[in-house]
Amino acid sequence: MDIKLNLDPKISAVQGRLAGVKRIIAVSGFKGGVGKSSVACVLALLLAERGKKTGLMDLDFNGACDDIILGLGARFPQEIEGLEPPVINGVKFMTPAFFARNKAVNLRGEEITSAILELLTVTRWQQLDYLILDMPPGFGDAALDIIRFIPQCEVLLVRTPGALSQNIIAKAEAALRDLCVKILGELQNMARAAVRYDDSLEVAYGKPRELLKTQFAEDLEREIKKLGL
Amino acid sequence: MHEWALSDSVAAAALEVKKEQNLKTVDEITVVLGAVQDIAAEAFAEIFDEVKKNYRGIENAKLVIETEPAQFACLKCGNIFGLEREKLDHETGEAIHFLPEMAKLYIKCNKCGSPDFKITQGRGVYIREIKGEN
Repeated sequence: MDIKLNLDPKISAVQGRLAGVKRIIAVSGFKGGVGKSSVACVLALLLAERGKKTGLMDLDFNGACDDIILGLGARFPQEIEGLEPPVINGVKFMTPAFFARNKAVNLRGEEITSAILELLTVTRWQQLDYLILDMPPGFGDAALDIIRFIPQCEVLLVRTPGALSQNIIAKAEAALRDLCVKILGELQNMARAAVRYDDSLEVAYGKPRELLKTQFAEDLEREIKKLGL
Repeated sequence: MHEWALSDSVAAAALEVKKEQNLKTVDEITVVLGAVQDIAAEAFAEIFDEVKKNYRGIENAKLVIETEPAQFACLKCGNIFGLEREKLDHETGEAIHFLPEMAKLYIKCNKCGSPDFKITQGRGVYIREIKGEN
C-alpha cells in the first residue's frame, strides 16, 4: 500500500518533547502593553528560585523581548539531540531572538505557526516542573495553534485595571472556555492592589537577580500563591 | 545534533500514520529535505537509522530521501527567486538552518529588494510517501 502524503512530521513530535514537563502555563495578555512578558519572565525566575525546575519559552515572535528582560547576552542553545536551552538564573530559556539576532521578525501568521512548531520540535526541555510560555498577544493564528499543539496548557490572563482591559479579558475568557482551555486565573498588573506599577522594573531589566528584588516580584509572588502556584 | 530531533519527528509521524492506516508494517518512508533548511541527507539518514530503533513498528522501514530546491515568491513584485546560499555568512546560515522562516529576516527579493516574500518550496523536512502492508 502506497500512501501519498504531504505531511509535516513536527506536529507528531511536540507532545513527546513535552513529556517530561509537569505543568505548562501560558501567560497571555490579549491586549498590548499589559506587562505579559515581564510577568512571564519574573514568574519563571520566582519558580526557579523556589527550586522548581523551570523553563521559559518566548513565543511572541513579532514582539519577543524576554531576552532583553532576562539579559540573555551571548548565550546560545547547545546542539544535543535537538537544541538544549541555555540557563539564566536557574531558568532554561528558549527564544526566537537566538535566530533573529536583533532584527525585526517580519513573519506572517502561518509562518509564525511553522516557526513555533519547529522550535517546539527541536527544543529539549527534559524534566521540568513548570514551562512558562510567553504567548503572542490576541487570538491570531499563533495563539490558536499553540493551544492546538499544547492543549494541556493552563492560561494565566494578565490585565491592567480599567474597562478596556477588563472587556478584552472577559471576551478572551469566554473564547478560551469554548476552546476547552484550562484558565489558571487572572492577574491584575499595574494596579493599586495586586501587582502594583513598579518604576524600578525598568532599571532591573537585563539583571535577573535585580528583577527578583523588585516590588513587582514581591507582589507577583504573593499573587501567584493565591492562584495555587 | 538538532537533526536528531527532526529525524525523531519523522519516526513519530510515521508511527502515527501506521496506526491511522492500520498498517501491519511500514516498509519505506520517503522524506523530502528542503534546501532552505539545508540538512545533510547522509547525516539525516544515519541518524534516522538509530532513531527508528526506538519506534516499535517502523524499525525496519527504509528511508528514501529526496531533496527540494528553495523557491521564494515576492509578495510585492511577484518575482520568483531562489536561495543564493553562497551570499550568506555562517551565522545567518545557521539561523536559517534552525528556523527556516528566519530567511525572511536576512534575504530580500533579488528584483525589487522587498523582504516580504513567501517560501513556496524547499522550506524544510516533510514526509511525501509511506509504503507498508495492511
